[in-house]
Amino acid sequence: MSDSQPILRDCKAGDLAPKMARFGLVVGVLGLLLGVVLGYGVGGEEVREHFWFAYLASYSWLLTLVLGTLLFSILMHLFGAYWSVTVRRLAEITHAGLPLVLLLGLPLLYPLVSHEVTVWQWTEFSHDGAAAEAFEGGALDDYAGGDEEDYYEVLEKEEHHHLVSHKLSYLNVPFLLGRIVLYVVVWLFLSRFFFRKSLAQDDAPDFEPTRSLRRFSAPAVILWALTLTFFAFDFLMSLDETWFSTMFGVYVFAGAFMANFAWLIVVARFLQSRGKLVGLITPEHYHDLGKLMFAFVCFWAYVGFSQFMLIWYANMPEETHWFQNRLVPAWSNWSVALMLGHFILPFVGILSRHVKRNPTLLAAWAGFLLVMHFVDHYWIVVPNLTRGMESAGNPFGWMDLALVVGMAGMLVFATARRAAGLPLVPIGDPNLKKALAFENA
Amino acid sequence: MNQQTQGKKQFYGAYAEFADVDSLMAAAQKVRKAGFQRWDCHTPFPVHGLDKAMGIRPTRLPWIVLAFGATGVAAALAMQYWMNGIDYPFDISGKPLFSWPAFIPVTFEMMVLFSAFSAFFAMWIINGLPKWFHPLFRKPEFARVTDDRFFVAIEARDPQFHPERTVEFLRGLGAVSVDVVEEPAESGGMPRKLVYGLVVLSAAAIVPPAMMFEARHGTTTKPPVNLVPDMDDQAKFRPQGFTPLFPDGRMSRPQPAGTVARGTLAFGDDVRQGMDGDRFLESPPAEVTVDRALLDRGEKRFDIYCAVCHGMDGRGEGPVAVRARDLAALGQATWVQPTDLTDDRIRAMPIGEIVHTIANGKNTMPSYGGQIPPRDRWAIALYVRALQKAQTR
Repeated sequence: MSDSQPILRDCKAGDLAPKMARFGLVVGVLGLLLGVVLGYGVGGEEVREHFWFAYLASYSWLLTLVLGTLLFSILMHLFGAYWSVTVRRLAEITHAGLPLVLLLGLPLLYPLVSHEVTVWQWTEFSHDGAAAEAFEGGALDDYAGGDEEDYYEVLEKEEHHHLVSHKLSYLNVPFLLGRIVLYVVVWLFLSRFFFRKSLAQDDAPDFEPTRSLRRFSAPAVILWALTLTFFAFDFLMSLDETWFSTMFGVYVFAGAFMANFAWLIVVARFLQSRGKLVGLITPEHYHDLGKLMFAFVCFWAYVGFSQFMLIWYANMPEETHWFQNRLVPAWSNWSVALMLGHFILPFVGILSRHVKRNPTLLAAWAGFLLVMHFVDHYWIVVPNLTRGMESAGNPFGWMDLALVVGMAGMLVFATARRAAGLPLVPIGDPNLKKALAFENA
Repeated sequence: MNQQTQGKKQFYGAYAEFADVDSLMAAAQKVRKAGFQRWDCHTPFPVHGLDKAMGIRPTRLPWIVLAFGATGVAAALAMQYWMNGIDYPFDISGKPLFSWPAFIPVTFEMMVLFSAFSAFFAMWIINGLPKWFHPLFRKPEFARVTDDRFFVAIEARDPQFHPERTVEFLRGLGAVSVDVVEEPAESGGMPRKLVYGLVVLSAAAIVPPAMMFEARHGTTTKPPVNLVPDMDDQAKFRPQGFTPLFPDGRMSRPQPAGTVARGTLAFGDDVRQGMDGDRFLESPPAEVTVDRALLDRGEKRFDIYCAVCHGMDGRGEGPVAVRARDLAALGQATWVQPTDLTDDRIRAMPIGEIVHTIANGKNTMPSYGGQIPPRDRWAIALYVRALQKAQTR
């Protein structure tokens, strides 16, 4: 196969891989260090809490993107898609960086188990079992009309604690630690399986690995969907401990999968600008990646709006406060920016097939959407820091920027490190020939 | 030579038949280079790259679909704005008359509808469909176009067309067979049988609506037809219904004696019911501190729970009352006018009785004890007093 396609003889990254890995590592370490210095070295108590929210926002940006690439390789096997064979390896080397990405999540265990910083309010209840139990008994029943506390304040408090105390059998630190172990095991296993099997095909072209990858892809999708959904519930939705939305997992998935396509387009365009993969990834492949990116821009908006509209329309206090926190002056600009930048502008921008078939233009939109993916996650996470504080301004600043640039650097590092020495297309895949000849009708 | 004397118009054109894709592609390129404009290829399956070989310009269809999609969006928004904002202003759960998030689902559907219809019908129109007959069908060779043969057809409308020279040109492309195609003697109208069939069908389609019209506007002694019986007639307990299940025959069960709502145990009858024994209180009990905050609270609760019927000013002219009276005037509803809370009877009423009425209801007014906790009942009653004081007559 590789002999009959002269184009395939040189499809490795060569010395570009170590160069990019070095660059990514420097940017990553510098960015994260700067973030830590701004958060812990310079700032006071308040900045410390802000630091952890910002860290979580940029980390969930990174993790969801990488998990998106994992889903891409799973799905392409599930569908038996052949058009995507030429770009699948790019997804594979990205999600093969999962071990490093998961290491970057380790610091988040600190606010989870420590009393010093509170990111997830419910951990306070989980730590303080007695307080939780007291409220479970019902503070209002003991309220005898005294003057110490206002009746309605007690009522509100009881409603709040009533909701939270019902969740404590799920939202408690030991159980969450157990779930984290489960997520990590599932993700590492999936990523390793889909990466290694594909690599094994490179040296010995054979249909067997494809067959077993296809067979396992269906249960793998279920595992992926469940772990991502519960990751979203545990780390992002539970930031607001009383809030609940059954659509939240789908919302995070939609953004993650869109980010995957944006990332693949950016990487492919970058490699081609450095003379790699020329003739292997054609406008036909960009066209399809672009179509799917466009589709998931729309799907994200569809899910996001459905979630908003149901809550806005029903107008029930236990649900609306999540959006209310994002419509206060400090965040309304972000909400509008998200609606414009994550949907309306890219919708108009990528609608035309001429844009999707123009790699440079498409990559520009993809890069923009990667930024919007961060805006999305910052918008999910950080308003929980300022909730209830009506006078608070928007906290975005140099520290947040440093952290996300650091995470992006680590993404480049993790990906480039894996790319070293590997063919950037799965040269042993039985469908590669079809993929190279692929044409959109 | 008969054909020549009668002019070009008798021809539909000329065709060439090819045995495989490669010779078709080569032929298509040559036909294009020769400068023909009115010509087409016919194949049993889509051939990749044929568009390019033929030099077909990109279709205009996407622009048509985009324009209609945008029209759908504009039409849907305008329609909903006009319906809910102008023609029939209707307050839905306190939201603005034009509240765009509520209108997005319909807007989205209209965009999809307009786009899909325009794509479907514009495609038909651009392609000249529906077509009942095509001149190429006259050639028995052309039947294999759905099987294993590939055809190039040049139309007589093409300015370069010439019955003999074009056939000669096509023969030079390595075709299996080449021939001219005559224009059919009569235009391919709808087959007669189909016309009759459609007439009968459309006549039959009138019958069901006619029967429905008759059923809706006539009278009958037969019982109504229930298509979904368990939806029309549900096995459930209704508020004022009868059941043989209980000795007293009532479907709605009275609360057991001494039932108290959760969280109100701390209060006695004075706070909850406005009563001291069997006497209505004339002033709030000690647990209720009358201050500005309580009155503000009372105003808010009144506007939420009471104003829909009694009106914001308490005069019994709330939106529900106004609407119900309109319907009653048309004979579509029966309605008892809500009490004017500023009239002398209520002014003279002990405040405890107002609290009692809120907690338990009176006449057609239902009990609000379930929604309004004890202190709020007093807050509302005090606000009613404030309304009375503000509206001296």
